[in-house]
Amino acid sequence: MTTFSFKTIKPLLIVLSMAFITNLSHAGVAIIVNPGVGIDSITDKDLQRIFLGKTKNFPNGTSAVPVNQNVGEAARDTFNAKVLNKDEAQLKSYWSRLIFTGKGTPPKDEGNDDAVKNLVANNPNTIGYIDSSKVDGSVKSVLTID
Amino acid sequence: MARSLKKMGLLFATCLFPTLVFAQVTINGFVSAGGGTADGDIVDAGGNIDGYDDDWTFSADNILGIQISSPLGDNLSATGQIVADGLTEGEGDEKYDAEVSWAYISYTFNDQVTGRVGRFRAPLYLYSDYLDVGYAYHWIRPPGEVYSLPFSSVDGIDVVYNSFLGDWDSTVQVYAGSVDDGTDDNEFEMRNFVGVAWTLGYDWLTLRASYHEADLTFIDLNEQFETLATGLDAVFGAGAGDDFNITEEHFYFIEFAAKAEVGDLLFVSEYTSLNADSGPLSEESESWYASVAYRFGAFTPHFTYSETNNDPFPVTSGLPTGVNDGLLATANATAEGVAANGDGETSILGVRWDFAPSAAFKLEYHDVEANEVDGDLINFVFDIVF
Repeated sequence: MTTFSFKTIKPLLIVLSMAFITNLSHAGVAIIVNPGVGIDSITDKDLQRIFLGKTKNFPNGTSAVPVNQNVGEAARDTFNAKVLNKDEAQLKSYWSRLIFTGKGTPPKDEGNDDAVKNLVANNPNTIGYIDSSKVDGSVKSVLTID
Repeated sequence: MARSLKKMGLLFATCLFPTLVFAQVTINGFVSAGGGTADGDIVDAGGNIDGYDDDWTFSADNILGIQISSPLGDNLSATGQIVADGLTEGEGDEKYDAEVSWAYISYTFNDQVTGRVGRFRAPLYLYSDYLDVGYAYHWIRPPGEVYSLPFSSVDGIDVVYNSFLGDWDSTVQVYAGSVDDGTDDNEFEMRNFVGVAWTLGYDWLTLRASYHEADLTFIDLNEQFETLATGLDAVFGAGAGDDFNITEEHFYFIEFAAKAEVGDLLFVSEYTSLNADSGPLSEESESWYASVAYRFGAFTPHFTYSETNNDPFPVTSGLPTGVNDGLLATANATAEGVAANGDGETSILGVRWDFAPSAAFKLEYHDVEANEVDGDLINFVFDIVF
């Protein structure tokens, strides 16, 4: 058994605090809508229904056009895991069931945080998700996922 | 390849709707390719298991499906799906003769109600809608004891009603249509074919119940049983042999399914019951399976048990003994033979490996008992969607 001296613990503490700081810069993923959509908030259940093709409308009745980020983008992985509770393979399998029965097609992949923000800012009815540090006045954030 | 398919789709759209050449035509497809070999008394007796005999063969699971869909205006869209597989009955080249499994025009009344006219999948089972799309489920194919009805598409109309009941998603599908199907030596037709399927989904849980009925006519089977039917009529009076003539006979089919996906664990089970008002097909044919799968990253090992049991139809009930007992015995033996022919149970041990995006490799071992004869099967397949 070795006993930990303050000396050995110190570098560990530094590493831990660095990890914490890195985490802070990725504060979370913001769900953003075009300001014209007219909703102020949204629930996980609504998001699941919109992004899994179970409804074509926002809860207020406005038509909804969901957009994804590209495969491999950090925000997409967070959104899939935290909101849809599915990984890429499960989603692929889920959508293959709808595509080949003519029941729906997945949201289009529209690039990274900046590309999705631009698209949502400029297209009515759109809803997407971006790193919350990227949110600005061009879009409306309706939910933040940590 | 993808390019020429795209061209084909455009060509298709151009011919039909010249003014909509640049409407979005979506083309999707799926391919399954694999092989297998069977062993045991079933193949020693000249039979096969799911299309495989005692040599390694590579056609029974090969499937190519191409789907083309196009919006035709605000609420109207057209969808077609052509499937060619290596299991279809026929010699040589006929094997891969393409069949149209979907060809319908759908009209979306609103966010909740969609109506369709044309050819679509009869919603008989939990996995009916994407039966050929192996990528969509963990097996190479759903358990044959339950997925045993010899047709999968119906020509007709349907209405699908989607709604939310609190946190539950509800889908009710009501349809009516007809079926002309079967193999070269066993053709049949179904009329007044109607049914309803109700699916409830709550996050990790899916529940399904469905009911279907039809008037069934067997064309070739009736010829096979003709001698027996005429014999019974001659000895016991007109009508005595009616059970051996299946013409516009009423059949009904009930199905229940439950699927739970909790984290990486999947459990799915399905029960079906096919009932006939007259023989010699089984009076009741009951089937079920239960399957459990667990995902370890890209690997999903799974185990399934399934079985089917058939009750012989009482073809001679009401006929007096002591007149021609030999003929009665023949009639009973025939009905029992038909029923026993469908009995079976299978255990499947397998693994699915998602080795690339949109592609999976599956390996399975099947331990089969069919009509009290044993056999086993080793089977693999690659499933791809594009």
